[in-house]
Amino acid sequence: MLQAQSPEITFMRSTFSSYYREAMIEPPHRFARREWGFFPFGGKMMFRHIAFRNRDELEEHFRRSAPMHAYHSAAYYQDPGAQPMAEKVKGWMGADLIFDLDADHIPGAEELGYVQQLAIVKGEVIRLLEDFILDDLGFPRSSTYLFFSGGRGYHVHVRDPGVLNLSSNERRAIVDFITGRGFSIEVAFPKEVVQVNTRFGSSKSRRNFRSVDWGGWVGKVHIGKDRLITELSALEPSLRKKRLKDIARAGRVQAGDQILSSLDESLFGRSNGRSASRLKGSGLFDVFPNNQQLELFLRLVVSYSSISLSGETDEPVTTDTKRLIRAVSTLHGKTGLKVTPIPLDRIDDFDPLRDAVALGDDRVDIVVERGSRPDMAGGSHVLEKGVNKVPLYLAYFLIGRREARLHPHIRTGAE
Amino acid sequence: MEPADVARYPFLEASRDHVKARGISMSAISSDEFRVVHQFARQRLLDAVDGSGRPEMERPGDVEALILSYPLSRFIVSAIRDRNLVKWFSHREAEVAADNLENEGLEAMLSIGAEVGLKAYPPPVEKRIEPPMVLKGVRPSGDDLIERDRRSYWVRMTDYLSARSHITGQEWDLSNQRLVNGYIELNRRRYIRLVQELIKTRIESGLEPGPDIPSHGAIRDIALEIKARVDTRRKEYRPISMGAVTITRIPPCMRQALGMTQAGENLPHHARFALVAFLNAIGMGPEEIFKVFATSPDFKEDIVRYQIDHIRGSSSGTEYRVPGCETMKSTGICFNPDSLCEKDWMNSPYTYYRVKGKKKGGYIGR
Repeated sequence: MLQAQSPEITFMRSTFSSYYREAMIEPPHRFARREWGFFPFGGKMMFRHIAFRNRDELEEHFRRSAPMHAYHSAAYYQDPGAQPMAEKVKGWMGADLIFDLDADHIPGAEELGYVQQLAIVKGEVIRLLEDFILDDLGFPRSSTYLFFSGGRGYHVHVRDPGVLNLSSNERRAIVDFITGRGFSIEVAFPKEVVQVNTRFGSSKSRRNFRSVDWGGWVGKVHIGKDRLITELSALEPSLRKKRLKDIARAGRVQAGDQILSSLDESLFGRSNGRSASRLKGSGLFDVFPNNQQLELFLRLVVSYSSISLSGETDEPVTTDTKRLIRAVSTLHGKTGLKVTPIPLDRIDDFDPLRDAVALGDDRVDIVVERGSRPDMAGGSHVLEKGVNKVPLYLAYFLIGRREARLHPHIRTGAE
Repeated sequence: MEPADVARYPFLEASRDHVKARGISMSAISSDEFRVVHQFARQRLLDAVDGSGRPEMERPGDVEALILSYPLSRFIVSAIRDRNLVKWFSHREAEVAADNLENEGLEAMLSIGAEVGLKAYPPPVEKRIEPPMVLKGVRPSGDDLIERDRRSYWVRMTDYLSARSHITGQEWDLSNQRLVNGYIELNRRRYIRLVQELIKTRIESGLEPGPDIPSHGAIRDIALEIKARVDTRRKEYRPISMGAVTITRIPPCMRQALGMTQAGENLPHHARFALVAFLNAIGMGPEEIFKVFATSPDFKEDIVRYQIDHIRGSSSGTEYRVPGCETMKSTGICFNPDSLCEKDWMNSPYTYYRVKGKKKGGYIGR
């Protein structure tokens, strides 16, 4: 943690101060009905329960305090500035439905650089939108908003009238759908009696796998199995097993090495993977020798096709109807990047290090421990170990992420 | 709406209007002239408290009295000011309405569903032809309307979520629904089940504690009688004191199930089973377990006793074990897992109870 009064903090604060003196804040939808919260530079806690009646008040606040982080509630309140001694005082009027996807929730992301982390999260966001929000869940494009968070992820806000009054429990049900929780093979693919022998009182039953156009998780399993097999087929056997293991871990599917190996064997071992190609593209799941393998395979497909939402277990975002979320068009204090709205049809092209850069390009001297070649604001920068002169946006980004320090001559010269 | 319809669904707007149009005040209704109304209201309330049969009409003219008995029973429930009675009353009234809906014509059923918040929409996709029901050697069974109705009822997902909020069980989880473009497919039985939930909510929502019990007259007599019955039912089955059982050691899933039961909410079958097996495993006796369920709205004494005996093994010879965490999860009743639940080795609610106890014991010794 940077010291509260360190030269770096002073630099960061004054950078934001100059920015907010000039910049326009784009107030979020119905901003006067929302509670705001701010985290100051060098501060230890958030100031909450702040409300603005109009745009001038809002902009004045940013000019005056230049917060390190700025948030507003997903909820709308009668009296958003009321202190929450009793929650009723605020008068909850409903809340947007928020999805938070962040690199910290992607397994193995810590080992990757910022650019790769964000690329992975972007892939997840696209799946969240195309496979869930705009597909089965049926939310219209016109009430779905996508934002780059300024940090290591993306936020999706749904403002459909149907979601505003959903309780926390009801939001949990939507999260469960997206994460595939609660999916039951027995309910989704029920065993049905296909033949009854009245003389002996016996019957024959068969699982009904329905088909892709059934929708919901039934459809997702049909699509997911094809995608998964395509992906696995392209891998070397050893990588294939590792991939299966990762998918199992991500979906908390309990499966030992041995059973994963036999599953792999059933799919790809016999007759040169003919089972895998039979399974792919057909609605038939009869390539497994036993029920245990079939169920394991289905669980893996669910894990593979679901989305990991940030911290829904420990720090809920979607289900917390009073939570604060980062405000659009404000700067993220750890990167200096701007919380940026992204039109849904532009997500493919969006590059945070180009499209969310908001700070200027005045030259700043910084010190780095090792050399690197970051791309930012459409240009390539070459950093050598030691002192470098870089544009303000890059200096802030590196200092905020603690990959660089200010040069001592600025340190002593500052205030 | 015909008076007979009003009588079957007295919680609808049209029914309220019907009563309002008659312009009878609560004080007027207490006169002896409305004796039949009093009888019907009393019967309604007794039915809610201990399930002793619906009011029967003897003459066709009684239908108006039956209609009036609904607002009168609500008035009495509000005056008695008892949370359990509110739950029991709204549960029972909704249950009866749902029974009626099962045999209702399509249009009427859908309009009632829409009024309480579950509008049915045309299918968002071409209806796929399901495989024929009659297979080799299988004869179609049951010929009441609900079995014969093979129609699909598509409702908006958000409406579905609000309606099913208090129903648990995998067959209701969103992940197991046919969900297409924001619409969920229901059959008639499931549609009615959700409408029943919404009716219950509607009935319950207006039942705030109301004016005092009248100081004299027929309505006072009924109110006092019902209040006594409520007290008796509660006393007979007073919510348990956990006794030797340490409440802080109970895992979150079981605490949730217990809380729901004691708040007078219905537990899904799996959860009830798990709870009984758990309470049995931690050493509670059958009487104590029995009392846990006494405030359930769908409480039926002989059934509950049978289930307890069955799970404890005294009737079946097999003592059922507490379901493991995996089973709890896959049946959708693993509620609010905490950090202890998340441990790799945690395998059942019973393990949680034992481990939590050990930790505590360690500190007590110091």
